[in-house]
Amino acid sequence: MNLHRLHAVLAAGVEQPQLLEQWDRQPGLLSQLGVDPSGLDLAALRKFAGLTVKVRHNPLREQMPLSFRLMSIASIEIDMFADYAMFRSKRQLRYATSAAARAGDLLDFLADWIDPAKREQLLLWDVIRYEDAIARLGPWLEQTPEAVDNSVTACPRLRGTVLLHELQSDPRALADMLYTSAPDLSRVPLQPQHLCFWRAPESDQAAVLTLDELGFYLLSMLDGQRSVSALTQCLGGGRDARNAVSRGLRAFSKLGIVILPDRIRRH
Amino acid sequence: MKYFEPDSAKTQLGLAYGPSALTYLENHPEGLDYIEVPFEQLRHTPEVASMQKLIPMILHCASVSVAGTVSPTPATLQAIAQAAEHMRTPWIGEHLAFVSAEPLDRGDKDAAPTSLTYTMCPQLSEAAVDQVVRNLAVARTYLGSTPLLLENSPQYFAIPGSTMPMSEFIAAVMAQCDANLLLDLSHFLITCINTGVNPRDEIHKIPLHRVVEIHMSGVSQQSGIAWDDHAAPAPPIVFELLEQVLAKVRPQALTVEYNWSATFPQPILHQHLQRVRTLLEAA
Ligand SMILES: [Fe+2]
Repeated sequence: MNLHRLHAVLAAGVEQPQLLEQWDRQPGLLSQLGVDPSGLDLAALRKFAGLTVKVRHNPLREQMPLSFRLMSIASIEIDMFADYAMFRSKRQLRYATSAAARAGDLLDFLADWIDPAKREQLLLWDVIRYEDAIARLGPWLEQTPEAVDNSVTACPRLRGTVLLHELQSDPRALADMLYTSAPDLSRVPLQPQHLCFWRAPESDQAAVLTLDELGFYLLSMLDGQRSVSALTQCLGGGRDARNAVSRGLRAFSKLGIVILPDRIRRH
Repeated sequence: MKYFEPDSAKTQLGLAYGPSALTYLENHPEGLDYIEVPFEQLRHTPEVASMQKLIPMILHCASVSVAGTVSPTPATLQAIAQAAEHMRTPWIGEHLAFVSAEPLDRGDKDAAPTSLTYTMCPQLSEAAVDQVVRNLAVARTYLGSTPLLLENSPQYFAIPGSTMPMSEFIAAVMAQCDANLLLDLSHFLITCINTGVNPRDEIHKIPLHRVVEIHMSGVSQQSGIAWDDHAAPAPPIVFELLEQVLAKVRPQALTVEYNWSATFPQPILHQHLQRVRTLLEAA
């Protein structure tokens, strides 16, 4: 088999894995390219493409050590990155240059790829969003720090930058497990978590807060446009809802995450 | 500037360039003899060269495409030569692999070659051996007197048209060219696992007397294949193979390649370097 043609086929298959699917469906195409289809392990070549894409994502490891460790322990790196390579190849997408953009693209892919019925994938989906949020509010934060704006407006609003994630496990519990000598992922408890990642204007890193459902919902509704009455309406209206909203907002205000309108402050 | 001085009586110990190596160097300035830096890193971030004020450097490379059918551009070869001269590297370690290949479409005269971001195991054949010999002759005209070491590739699957196993391919290349061997023990182990041979026997088929440098890194087994993994520590068998090799040859350098992860555990890095040092002293 001609060395030139073989290397051309191997390299093209690795760089454009969608070709591997075409060759798998129509082996005659490989014969036309001068390579005997029976001798070429297309599945292994697809996995090798996954290795090369995995290596391309090494710069993410600094901010995502738990995610990569989990992928390694669960032995899903190669298959996951092989699927990702195929995904991007089919859409003719290039890999982003910055770590933050590369992570964003990977998370977009994982949102569909993850099978929540597989525990290791469910844990990965939690931990990678957790690490991504912390990085995005820390070293990956793009915006230049603005002057602290503590001015009071008519509607309650967030102070600093907030990201909210609903997880099925606590990545902090996973972290403890990942660094034991024999990590057992089945022992990481599955328990819904409502996490708030908050970077205060005066801080250079994210704080992670565990919220209850109401607090999580309230923060997710704060856009600086919704008044306290509107927020109360979102919770069904009535006195109980109003009290719950006020209590919640005051607690957030005490922590410094929320700036309250004057009217609420005075009460 | 500090320069690597080969010492035939001693194997010098280094780390492959990466964030974990820099942390180690900071914490143990006397613990390393050199840092091995990829040419591609220097090309991308030339400021890395200033590290040579602290520690000698050895040049590694993945751009010559020694076993490939598409030559690197003269500009690339000139840049490698320049980096080697500036660094006063004792040799250039290059993969016995390819990183570029002819375009798929033979009819399209304007099509560019396919460039890979990662080196790939070539066909293991007489034709590939001849190609390596031709490529080395071209590279030699640019690289002057700086020796080239060839690093064995990890083989992940059967390469169509191959007529010999990896060990025979390495031996054939060594027999026909003047480049010596950079034996990557993890690549060697990976190849043995994936091709179903016993590494403890196969190691003796490698021309060990030509080994000038050794590489060690991790190996991960996933999806039915053993893979190169510089984010994982070397498994015990790699240390065992190292002992076997040291019984036959005294390499000039040994590089631990734990360079993929900024968070590689420093205690393990330290422990493995100590273990290697002990083996080198005992050999
Ligand atoms: Fe290596």
